[in-house]
Amino acid sequence: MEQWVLTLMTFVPLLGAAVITFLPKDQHNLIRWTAAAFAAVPLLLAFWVWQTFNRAGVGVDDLAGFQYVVKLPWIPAYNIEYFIGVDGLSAPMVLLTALLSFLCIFASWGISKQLKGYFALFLLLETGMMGTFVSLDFILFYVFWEVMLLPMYFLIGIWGGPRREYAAIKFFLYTLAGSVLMLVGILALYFQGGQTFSLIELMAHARDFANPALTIFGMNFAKVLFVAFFIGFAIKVPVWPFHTWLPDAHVEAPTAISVILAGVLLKMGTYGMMRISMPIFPGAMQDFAFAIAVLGVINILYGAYCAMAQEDLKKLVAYSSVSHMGYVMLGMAALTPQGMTGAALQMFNHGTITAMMFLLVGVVYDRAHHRQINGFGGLGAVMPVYTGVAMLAFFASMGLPGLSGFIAEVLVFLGAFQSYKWLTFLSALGIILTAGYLLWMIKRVFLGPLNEKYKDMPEINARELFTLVPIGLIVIYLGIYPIPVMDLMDGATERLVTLVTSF
Amino acid sequence: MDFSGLNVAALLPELLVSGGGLLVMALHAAFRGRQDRQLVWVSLASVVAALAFCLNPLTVEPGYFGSALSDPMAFAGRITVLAALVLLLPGGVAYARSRNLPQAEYLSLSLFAATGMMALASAGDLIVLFLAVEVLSISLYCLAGLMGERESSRQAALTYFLAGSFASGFLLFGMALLSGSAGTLDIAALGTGLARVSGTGTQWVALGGVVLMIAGLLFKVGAVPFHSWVAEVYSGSPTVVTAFMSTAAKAAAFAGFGRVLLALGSVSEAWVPLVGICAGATMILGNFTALVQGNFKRMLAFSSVAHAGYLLLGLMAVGAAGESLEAVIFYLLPYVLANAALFLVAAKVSQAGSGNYKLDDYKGLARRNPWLAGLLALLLLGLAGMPPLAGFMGKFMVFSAAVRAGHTGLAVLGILTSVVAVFTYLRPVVYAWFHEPEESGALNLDGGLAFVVWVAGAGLLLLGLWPRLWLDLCAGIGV
Repeated sequence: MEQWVLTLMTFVPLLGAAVITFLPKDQHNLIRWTAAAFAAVPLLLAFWVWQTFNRAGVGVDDLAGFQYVVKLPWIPAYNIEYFIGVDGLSAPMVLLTALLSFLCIFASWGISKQLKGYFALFLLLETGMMGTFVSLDFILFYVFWEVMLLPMYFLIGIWGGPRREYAAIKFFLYTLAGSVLMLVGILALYFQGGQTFSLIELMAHARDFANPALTIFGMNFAKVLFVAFFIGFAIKVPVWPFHTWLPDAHVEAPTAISVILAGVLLKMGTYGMMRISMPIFPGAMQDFAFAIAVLGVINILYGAYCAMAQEDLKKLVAYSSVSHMGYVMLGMAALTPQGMTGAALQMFNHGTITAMMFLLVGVVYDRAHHRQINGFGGLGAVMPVYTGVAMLAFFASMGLPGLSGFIAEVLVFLGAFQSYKWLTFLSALGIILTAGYLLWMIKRVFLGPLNEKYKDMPEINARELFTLVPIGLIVIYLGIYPIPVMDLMDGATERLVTLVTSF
Repeated sequence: MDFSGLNVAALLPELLVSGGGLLVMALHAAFRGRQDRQLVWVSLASVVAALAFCLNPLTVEPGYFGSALSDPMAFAGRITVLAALVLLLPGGVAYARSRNLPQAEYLSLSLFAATGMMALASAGDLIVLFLAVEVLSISLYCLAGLMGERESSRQAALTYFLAGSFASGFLLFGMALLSGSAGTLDIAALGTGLARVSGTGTQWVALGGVVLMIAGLLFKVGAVPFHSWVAEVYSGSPTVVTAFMSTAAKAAAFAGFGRVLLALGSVSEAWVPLVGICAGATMILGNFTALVQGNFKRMLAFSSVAHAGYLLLGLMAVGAAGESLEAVIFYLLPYVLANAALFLVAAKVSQAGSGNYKLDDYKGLARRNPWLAGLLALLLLGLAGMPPLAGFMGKFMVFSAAVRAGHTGLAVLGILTSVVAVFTYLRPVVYAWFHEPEESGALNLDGGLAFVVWVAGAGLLLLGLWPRLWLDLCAGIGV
């Protein structure tokens, strides 16, 4: 029975979406609480998975290390299976998805337009995200990956800001262009890898794919496919120069959707690289590692510079995501155990910290109806509690010791320094830039003389605190004692590094 | 003479449908048109009866000495055609009634056309193939001109007639060369016949025949370079007729010609590059032309050109490998379901709006009827090939067949043009969901249309999740 837990986590939200479509549309609170109830189930189950997860299991390319595995034939003619399970790479992501989805239901309380549609699509989105992280069959992965795309598109396009249509279409087309590249790659792998879509079995064929005599379009098979998959995932991360959809999507998306976008969706890009690109093409990963590290550094520095130039608070947070995802890339590309663990940990921590930051932006936006950094001033005087929580989030984002962001960044630098000294040095400058844009923003928004316009700004309310406090506690807790999450991923990240470096 | 090979029962579905058509004409004459409202039930009864016989055939022996086949392909083609009729006839009659078109003519001609299509899907020799093509084409020419008082409809009928006649000419000449050099009319025997003449001068005659036949096929399915009639015919014909042409007729053509190309697998190096180039060009041209249309009906017309490209890709991929046409068979059913429903929706939305199929009519549709707007999105995304809908599975099978046959480049092209297609199909969705309505007031569907849209939507989802349902069904019936 236990192995069905992942299936339940994936499809209970879908059931919730179906239930919501049949609720009367003027019963707003009923719809909201129904959505919350259906999002609570995966959260409880995720918590249980986290508790019962066997830390000794390794995973990655070793099926025995996966837990809660279900493997059923789906389309036998093509060997497509309903094949799901979690290992150290996906377990933290599953936990993150369940947590943020649940909290975002509460962050969406203020949505007043077409509530039924909003919450139904939101739960459908959760199904897509969850499914993507637990899939071990390539087609299943692809299906969930695309399933997630559509609700996101509608959530931005219907409930977004003034330029929502443009942002939604841009998001959709960028991601789709990436994912179709992936589809070609999947088909090519299928026919070269013994006609299977099982990721585990494909990893076992890594040597066959790396055969230099094997070509596609007259070029090395493994390298072409690695690049195709990389672009598909890079668009999602987003890696410079594919990042331009991100600020648009974030600025237009409603708060909760920004949280999901930055907190979960971006991680799918780097998760895909770890789950798919590295173990299936370890040789190509070695060849391209330096290039990926360079891209990571560009992300870190370019993202930080862009963040510094922003007038819009939400855009600043959006670019800070570009910058912080660069650390993940750098840590991954270092191909050292510390770097990989740092990258995986950074994925989780960035998910929580950036979620807080977007929620915080949402709080002021709901009150002031604008997000101009220069339009505030001295908010600390009228909203002390809010300012306190905000400081926690921004300092965590800066990588202040004692908060969760610090540990991940240190591990990334530790790992990367062994492989790329100069790149690590350059990327360390990113820390200064991060401190720069965040402190400068804090000065303009929270400190200084109070802007008279906002002297009656109401303090953060209980519902908003409810969405922020749990994440804040996690950020503090993992900053002091990161082991509960790190021991989930340790075995898998080490295995991944050995897999690539020993190839 | 021994008549045991006649086996009339093999043709029961065709006989039932054509009998239904004759009965409709007779009843129309007998009641002097006063009971035309009831004729749709007569037609549907014959279609449903034929469908029942397809699902539980009395015999799976070939009929008429091998001219009428009973293989999975034949049944798949017939069922697809009949399914399109079930979806289209009720809506079509309502359409005809609201625009004062002759209902009895619409019904009987549709049934005759369907007879031709079903015969085409199950044709075992070249003569029957040609007869079937003519039966369906002539009926469709008349149907295209059904709105005779409109110039666009007359023009469509004439264009279709001229283009179709050329195609028939090509086809017939190609058949003559092919059967002459292979020494047989039996489609299944063409391959061995051609193998016998390979290396001799006759080989070139045969190749000429193959090329001409392919030209005929490309004409009939509206593929590049013989696609120019499509826009005018599809947009000028009455919408329910366009729906019929772009769904059932195309399915039948692919089934019938697919069988011929499969039989020519031994000379595949002669026709595969040709079909490949046309498939690639069709995907590009169809998708990009569809992208810039501001008219929903024309957009669907060009998108159906694009789909012909994907189907050609599937045909050439399996043809070269000599495998079964599973990918093509599968691709057709969701395509037919979605297209049939979308054309009917187009007619309804246009009637309630500008009257000339402008995309603007879809603005704010979600406000006026959220369920319709949701299903519209589902159907369009199904056509676009988004998982988990059936369109994705169809494309997946076609592209994987192409990759397996070594046509990776064309598969990549197909996948990239699919992205263009998604953009095309999203535009009405964007209008429906993201824009404010220009007209207020609910847009209610009548029962028949609602049935069609729901059935098509459910079908797309079901076939996407369990694609084997349809393939196993076909494999289970025929031999």
